[in-house]
Amino acid sequence: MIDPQMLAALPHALAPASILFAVLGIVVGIVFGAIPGLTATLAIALFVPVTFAMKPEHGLIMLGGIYAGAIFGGSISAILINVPGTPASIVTGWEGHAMARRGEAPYALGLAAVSSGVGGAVSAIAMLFLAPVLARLALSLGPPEFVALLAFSLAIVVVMLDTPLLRNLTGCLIGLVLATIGLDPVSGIPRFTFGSPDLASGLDLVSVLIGFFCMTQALILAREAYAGDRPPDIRFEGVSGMRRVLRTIAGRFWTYFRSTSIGIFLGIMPAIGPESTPFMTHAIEKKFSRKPEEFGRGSSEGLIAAETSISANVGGSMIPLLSLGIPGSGAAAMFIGALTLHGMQPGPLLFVDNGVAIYTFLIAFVATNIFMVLIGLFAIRYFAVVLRAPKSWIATFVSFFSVFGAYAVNNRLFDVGVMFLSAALALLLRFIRIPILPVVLGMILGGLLEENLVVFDITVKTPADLMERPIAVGLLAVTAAVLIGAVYRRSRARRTGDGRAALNFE
Amino acid sequence: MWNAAASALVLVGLAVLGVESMNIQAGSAAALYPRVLIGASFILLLGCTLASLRRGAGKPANDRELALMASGPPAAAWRFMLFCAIWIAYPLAMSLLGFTAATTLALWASALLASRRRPWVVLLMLLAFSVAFAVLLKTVIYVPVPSAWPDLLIDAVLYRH
Repeated sequence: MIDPQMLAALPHALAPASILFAVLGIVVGIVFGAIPGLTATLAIALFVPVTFAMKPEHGLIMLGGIYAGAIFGGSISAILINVPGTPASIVTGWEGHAMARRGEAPYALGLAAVSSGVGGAVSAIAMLFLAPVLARLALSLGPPEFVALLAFSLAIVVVMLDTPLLRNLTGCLIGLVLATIGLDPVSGIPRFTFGSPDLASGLDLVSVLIGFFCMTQALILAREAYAGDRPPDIRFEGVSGMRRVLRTIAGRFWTYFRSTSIGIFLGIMPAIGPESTPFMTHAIEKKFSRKPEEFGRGSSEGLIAAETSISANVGGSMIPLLSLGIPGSGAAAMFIGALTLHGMQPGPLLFVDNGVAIYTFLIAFVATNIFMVLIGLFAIRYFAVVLRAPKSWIATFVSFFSVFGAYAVNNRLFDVGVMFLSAALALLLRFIRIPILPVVLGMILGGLLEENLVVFDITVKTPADLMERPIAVGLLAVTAAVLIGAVYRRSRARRTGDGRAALNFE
Repeated sequence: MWNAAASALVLVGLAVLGVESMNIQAGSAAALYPRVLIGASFILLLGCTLASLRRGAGKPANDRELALMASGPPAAAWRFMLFCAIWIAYPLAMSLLGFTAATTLALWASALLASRRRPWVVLLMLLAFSVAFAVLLKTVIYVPVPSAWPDLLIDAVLYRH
């Protein structure tokens, strides 16, 4: 049955203002995504403070447009110059750039635009119907189930990332430590505030994320610029392939079906962001293909599989975010900052307290993906010029917007300091090969975990008490199985001399 | 070397938090939870660092961007350090000079590090950007930024009626 709030949200979602913010978001996103070094997460992080003056639903629609646009924008530089604009576009570069070298750049970009739009639109529809169901289900969960669910999410991050297991775990713990700064959520005792009243409310999430994702990238871009990196030559040549694009996509239903399903499923899993999804769908599609030898040499199937799954992952990663408050990717984590900035608490009560606003965003996200196809098909060559922007200028303006963004959240310079320290921490962790995603997830989930742990400690006194909560027991058993499986797999690979797996076990 | 130095800094940070956790009211869950987390992360990080040192891993693996950051010609390194100094000084300058002047100067100084072609034209363009952004802040986004006389002048022009 359709939720009445969904019907009430429909006119809001299709209002001119919503469409305007969606298109604006897509344009901004494509520009950011197309520039190598600027990611979807960075674009969202920089624009979260800008949405403060907007209505919550308009702010979310714009950020949704930025997310979708940036993910697609990454394919522009991947196809035209073989430099992925975002890490998610590496596979797109393998296939798309090979097509561009054959003089099929417009065809490859057209395929990427339509595939991205299809993946995004289907995942948005899945998000529209799955997120409220999951949220309703989550309302019946108590603290023991939440503790188990959060432990499961953190375990998935630890085992799924392609970095050493112990370093992922260390990252998670560091994130949880950062989340303890400020007043204790249960007793209100100040912790690690060093006498500063600014720290009483803890580290501001948006400022920390801007430091992690934006300021560090600005520094890296500046370093590359001063080392002599130059903008590339761009050639947008070849016959227009609109009719050919439509003919190709018409015969690829199962490729779209498989890639979208896998993309959404992986998006729902914490830690599996759009970066790792296309590798999996590309490999699976190669097994199903009648021409597997073309994969990696300009295969339209490979390109469709990669692009569709990347965008499907975007919608998938928003499902646990909206319904449980658990982000499925780094970029989705930024939405937590946006939601809290507008006084909304992501989680099971989101659809109860802010149903119309959230449904407006979800319906508009479907429309956003359709607009993205149109923009991608008809205006893509105009976006390609951003690839000529000098890195030093990009670094300068990303730095400026990072400082401004951190300041604008609470209108205080203290948060700018937090942002700089977060950037320094992110760089230090990168030097010691501790990935940033577990830190982010630990920090976001830390408060919730601690609150529920306290109640868990009070309500569950004996193992028999726990046995009365079958969902919690099941989730804890799966978590233990996932961890034991990962340790076993990696230690066996080390024994058999698999260098890559051995490195990842540590 | 970079790896060990970075590990040492993070370990020192965790140690500081560990010492500070002793000031939290003893016996409460508010103290126990962070102490367990800090202890576990300290031990794990120390273990990872020792494992890296034993393997002799001096630089981060497969990270071209970080490798570039830790090496490169001295002139580029100096310019990079100046770039960092400009953006760290920018928020401090904002409280002294106000938003518009500090933004113009920070952007200009940063731009000059990359290229010294037509500096005055660049300055004028960046001044125009800063003023336009300040107007946007005051009329659309409503973010109260630190003010000095250029910002007060913009206020006077915007709200003289």
